[in-house]
Amino acid sequence: MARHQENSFHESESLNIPNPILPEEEESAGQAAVSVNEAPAEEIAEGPSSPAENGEAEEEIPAGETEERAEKPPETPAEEPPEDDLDEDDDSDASILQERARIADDAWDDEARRVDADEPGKARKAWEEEDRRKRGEAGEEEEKPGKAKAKKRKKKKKSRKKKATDDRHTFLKTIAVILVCGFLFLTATLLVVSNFIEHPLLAMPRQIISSVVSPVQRFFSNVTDSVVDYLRMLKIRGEIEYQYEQLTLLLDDYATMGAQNEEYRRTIQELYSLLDEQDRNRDLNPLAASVVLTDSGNYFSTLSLDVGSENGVDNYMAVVAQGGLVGVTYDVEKTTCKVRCIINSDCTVAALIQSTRDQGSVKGTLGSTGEPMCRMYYLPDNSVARPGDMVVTSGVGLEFPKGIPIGEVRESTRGMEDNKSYVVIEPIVDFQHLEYVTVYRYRPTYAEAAQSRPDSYSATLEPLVTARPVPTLSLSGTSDFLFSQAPETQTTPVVVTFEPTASPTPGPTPDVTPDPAATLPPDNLSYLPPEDPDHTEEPSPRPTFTPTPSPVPTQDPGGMIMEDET
Amino acid sequence: MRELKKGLKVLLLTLGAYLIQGCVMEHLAVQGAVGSVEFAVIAILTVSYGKKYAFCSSCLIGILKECMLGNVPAFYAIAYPVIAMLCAQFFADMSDRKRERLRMLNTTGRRRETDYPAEIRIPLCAGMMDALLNIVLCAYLYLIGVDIVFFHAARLLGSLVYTMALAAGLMVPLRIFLGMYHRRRRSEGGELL
Repeated sequence: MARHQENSFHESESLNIPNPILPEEEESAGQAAVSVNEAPAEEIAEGPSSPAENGEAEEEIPAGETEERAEKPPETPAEEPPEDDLDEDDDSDASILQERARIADDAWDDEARRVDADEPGKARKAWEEEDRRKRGEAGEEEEKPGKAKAKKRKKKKKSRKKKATDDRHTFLKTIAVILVCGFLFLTATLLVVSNFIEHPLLAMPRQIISSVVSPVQRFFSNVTDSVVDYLRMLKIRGEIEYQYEQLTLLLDDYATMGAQNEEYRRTIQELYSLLDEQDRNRDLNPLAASVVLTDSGNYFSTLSLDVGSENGVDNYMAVVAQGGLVGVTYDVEKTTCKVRCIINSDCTVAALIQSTRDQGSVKGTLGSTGEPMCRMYYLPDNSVARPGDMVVTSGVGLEFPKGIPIGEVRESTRGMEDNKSYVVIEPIVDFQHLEYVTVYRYRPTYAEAAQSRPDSYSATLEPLVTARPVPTLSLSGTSDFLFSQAPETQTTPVVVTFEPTASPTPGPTPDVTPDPAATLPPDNLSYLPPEDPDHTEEPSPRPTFTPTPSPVPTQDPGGMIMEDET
Repeated sequence: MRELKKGLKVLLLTLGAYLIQGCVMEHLAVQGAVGSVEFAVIAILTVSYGKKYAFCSSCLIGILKECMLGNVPAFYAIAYPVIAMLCAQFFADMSDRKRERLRMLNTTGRRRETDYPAEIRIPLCAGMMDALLNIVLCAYLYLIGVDIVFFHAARLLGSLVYTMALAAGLMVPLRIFLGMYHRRRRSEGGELL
């Protein structure tokens, strides 16, 4: 009765709500479905053929999946419940099937309306195709009803097994999660409680965890520390390399600055030396000059200075540097002049040995021997110079200041070798490193006096009045006349003073202020050499010269000629 | 088997985070602030695997810290799981039941039924956990007599930013490790795995 009511309800539903978009065939199909639903229970038990029977009767349809399943009610393969179940719950199964068919029809109609509203005609085509396919399957099923039933039963069994397996897995998973969470919760609880209650059992989890985790953590900590140390070492190394590069650059800068400082120091030293020399010999009218060109050849050594006649430089002026004589100016131009160095073979300077005061002339040897040395010629025969003796200018000949150091006696063999008429002098000046020199614009004042005198041809020579001896006469005639002493009054020579005879008209009074040009130069006007910083009051012992015999090359005995052989 | 694999991954990540936090992070302090890799990992697990795994991970870390370096009695063992669960309430994926309920209640379309993107939730979750822990620690310090000054706030802020940055940086590789970006395969029957 209940089934009948449901059938009628479903029928009325399906009849009262006609599907507007369904074609006539479809409607007939729907009626056929209804008629199937209306079939007796035995027929249903054999196997439903309507779309409403598809799907699992026991399956609970979620809300989200309802529409999806309702979209394709005919597609869902019909799964036949076991025969035993159908036999037992025949009425309930039929009602369920009818209900599902009704839900599916409703969903189908709703979807059809929706789809048709969106795209008219599409739903019709889809249902036509679906209907065609369904009819074909129905035909096949009609052909092979036994096989389809067996297939359905297998699928049903498989799904049940799968569901049971899933349920078992879900149950196990839940149990596992509960166990894990419970274990962790219990452990945490024990740890918390162990802080307040001292009991060996409560302290056990902490001990176990500590004993397990400590080695792992120690190992990991060691590895981490090693890595950190390595990275730190790399960082330090990078910093050190960076600092090294910076220091290298700084060192280069300092080296450059040091070289510049050394250059400045030398320049300052030379300038100080020049200034000192100029201060010492201010009376010699010094003039500082720079060497602008050096011609240091094998035979000649000349310099060019940046001073000339504009600065008061004239020919044959002494040029001094490093406390020694460099040479003589010549070829003076307006702004430049040249210097002939004393090591030139064509440069001769009058000199004397400071210790013995033996005079001679110094001449360069660059042209003869190629060495930047000097030789001193024309020494007296009895003069034996000793090595180390200082040779200075004598002021004879050229208008040189007296006493400018030239060099030291390096070698003297005059006493040992007869054929040597000179001594070798090593100049004080380093001619290879001349940068600044001092030109002494010295002119002896007697020359100026001579110039101020009138010419010689116009001079009138007047003999000087000299005192003449006055003969003394002896009045006694004895032999000792000659040896007798004259009386003191008579023996005293008569000094005749030349006094001008007084003229009746006195001459003009001589000018009291003498002419400065006419004053004679002071006697101490000579070159003052620089003080030796190492100079002491006690004279240093003179170096004893011991000529070292030059080694005689030993000839090859094989190449020697014996007397017998000649 | 899949659950076991997931459990092993979670265990590995948790132990790794604990070891890295204890051994490495002290060398990576920025201006005195140390980030929390542990919270970053817990946040990633919270968003990726859900509350249960987050609870397990946080509880394990709390137990380890409590056993190895707990100076405040029972602090880590309680604080880590509680904070993790508290933050999981806000940042974990909502359950199907809750989503369905929201969908049914959503008649006006104003309420959001879906979660925010995981890439946003993970740093926020990590930051919130770190902030909560630091706040609790500052409160503890204040209660024992230490004055809370700007330095503490600055360190809290620095730690918060550091932890969020760590979570953002570790998010992609760890989620790849957890299999969150694997392409879904279809079984022979068409069922999604």
